[in-house]
Amino acid sequence: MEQRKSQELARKRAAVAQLHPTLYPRIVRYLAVRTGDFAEAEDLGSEVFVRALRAVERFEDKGTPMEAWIFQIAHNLMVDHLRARSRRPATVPLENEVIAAVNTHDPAESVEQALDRERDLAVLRSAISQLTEAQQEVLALRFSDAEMTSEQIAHILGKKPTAVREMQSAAIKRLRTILGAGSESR
Amino acid sequence: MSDRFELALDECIRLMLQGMPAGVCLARHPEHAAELAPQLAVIERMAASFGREPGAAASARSRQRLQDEMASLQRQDLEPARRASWVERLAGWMTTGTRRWATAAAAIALILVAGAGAVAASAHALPGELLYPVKRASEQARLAAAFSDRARAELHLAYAERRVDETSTLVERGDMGQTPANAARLEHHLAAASHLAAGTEDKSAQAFQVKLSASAAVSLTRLEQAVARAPEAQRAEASALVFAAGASYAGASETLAARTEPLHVAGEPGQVQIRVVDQPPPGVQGVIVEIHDIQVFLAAGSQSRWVTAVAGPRTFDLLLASDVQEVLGQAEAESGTYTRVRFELGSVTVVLQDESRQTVTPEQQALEVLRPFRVEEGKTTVILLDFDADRSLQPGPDGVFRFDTKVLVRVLKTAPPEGVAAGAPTDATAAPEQVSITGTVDSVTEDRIVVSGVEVSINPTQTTDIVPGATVTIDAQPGADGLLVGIDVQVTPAPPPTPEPQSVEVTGEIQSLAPGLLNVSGQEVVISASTEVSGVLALGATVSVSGARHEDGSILASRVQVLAGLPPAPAPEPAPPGSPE
Repeated sequence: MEQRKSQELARKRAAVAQLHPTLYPRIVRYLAVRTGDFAEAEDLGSEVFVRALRAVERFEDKGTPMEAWIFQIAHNLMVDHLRARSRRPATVPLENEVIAAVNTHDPAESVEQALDRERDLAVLRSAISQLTEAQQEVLALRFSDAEMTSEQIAHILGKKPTAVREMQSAAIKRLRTILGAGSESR
Repeated sequence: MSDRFELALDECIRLMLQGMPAGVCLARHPEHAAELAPQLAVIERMAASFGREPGAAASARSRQRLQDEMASLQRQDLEPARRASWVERLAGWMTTGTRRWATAAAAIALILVAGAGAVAASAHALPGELLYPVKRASEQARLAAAFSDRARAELHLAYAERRVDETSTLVERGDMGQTPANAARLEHHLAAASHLAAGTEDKSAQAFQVKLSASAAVSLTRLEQAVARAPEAQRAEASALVFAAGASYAGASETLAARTEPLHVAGEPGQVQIRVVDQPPPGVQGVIVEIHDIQVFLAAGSQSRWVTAVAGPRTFDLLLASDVQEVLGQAEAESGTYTRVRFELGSVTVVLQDESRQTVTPEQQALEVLRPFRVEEGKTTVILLDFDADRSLQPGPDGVFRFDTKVLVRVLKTAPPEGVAAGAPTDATAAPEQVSITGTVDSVTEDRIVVSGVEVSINPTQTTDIVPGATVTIDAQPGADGLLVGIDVQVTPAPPPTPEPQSVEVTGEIQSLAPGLLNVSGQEVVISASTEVSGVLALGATVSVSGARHEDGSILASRVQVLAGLPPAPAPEPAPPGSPE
């Protein structure tokens, strides 16, 4: 019995590791939309998989895909992170964020591109934070994976697909209002 | 926006995230291009910021971290498990509980100053009383001394029930000053309890979820009883506390369900039955309510979802539900923790003493009440929608009724919940002896009839001439095995077809004029907001009225046209001869 349990545990841990290549980028994008910080999302995404590995012994595959379970862990971690962040002192000035972006930018893009991207990210982060929690969640799941359908999002959130599409439309419309005409000139 | 637009937008998002230019999307949906274009600009911007891959370095770090963690866990698996010594446990507690010590130290200082006698005396102190801070300090000291998250969670739950008890006592006295602060304390205790319980082992967290639901049942019943005893002037404010407490409990249940790893195992189903009861208003004969789907929310982590308990639309008369609870329907539901009930009201028709009717649109049509409850395998959980038509239905100064929905959601069960001591105030003791079920016959056998999903045991003589599809009213009471036993079965005759209103046109003189009502040559004409009026309505004016004649003989006017104004003033009588001009 003990041997079977340890084999089962090993199988589950291997399943988490096997999901990492395809799921890590999706988790990072989801967290990036929710936190507004791609670099932070990369670190948090790594933490998500560590936690999944530690908790996978209790996971039972009874109709809930492991991917959805890991997204749930990501959501919980994001909630804790945002709560802790709200208790910290005032945010780092934009100049420091820009410097950080320049120091860590992908060599494939120019410094100017990195600067533009970080500035736009800051604007988008502020706009997204003005949406409702449900709208943010729908957008984050949507942008996490190009193949994600509204039916899959509905299943994760426990809502109807029509409700998901309505929230998605309302969220984008609201973002457009917040961002103003500037979004159309880009 | 239509669902077609949203489908088009949804497809465009997916295509643009795959790299397709916005122009291609617009070409695929030319009928929505004008609306889509500005939205796609936002999507383009978001995709540029978020729709990219993590950096290669970050991905590599994450992979390495995962491998390191895997290796660490495998090493732990190989080490023999050992029990931490009491010294290690104490050391761990002291290093991580610095903040708790500070709070505990302050609490202990207060207790030392107050004295043991004061602590004992403070046990029944209420918010605002002199010894209440000592009571709270004693609670803080116990929390600080607890050895585990589970123990602290249990304490917080117990303190939540104390807060409810305190609030109930204040409500019964009509002393509402401290109740908002106490409601906030209740929310804090429940949030803390669920957060702490969520950090424990899954089986422990799931067991705590059951305790939370049982606590909610006891607490909310206590509060509802207190509201019923509250002075009339404070009852509305007190009722709001029940909603707030229900929301606090439901929030804690949902937090626990969400934070617990989604190991929800679908067990054998139970049943959810929806009943309605009412406090009738004076001066009316009937209040006919149309209700759409009634749904309940299963809190089960990533598998949380709404479940339809009653498929609408259903119509019922609130006044018929004033003596006996009326069953609206019943459905099978997965066993587990539920936290919300929602429904949408359609129209409300008020039947006045003179048989006239007014159709009212409720001011609040969609309602969602947060209230946790459990559905147990093989058992029936009864949700009672306790309408208060007396407070909901109010006549306006113009005689037109308004319906501001006031409803309490109460949870009854056909069997007492586990873990609740006998004699404790529970919803189960409030189960009535008799219920009334009106609905459509789903199926009928020699000794069973199913009406709107509700199964009732009957004897064969009661089912003569009853066929599936018939509308029946059954008076029943719970039997020893929980199944309803029919006392009386009445087949409801089909109502006579409502005659179509007859179109009429009348022309005549306005003989009387009141707001919304004319008398045109002896005929009563009702003017509504949709009546088209041409000309100035005045006594004596000749008008042409087009409309529909109702059963009471009055005409509901669709159009009133003034044909001629006031009749000319009569010519003055000629002066008698010889009088001065």
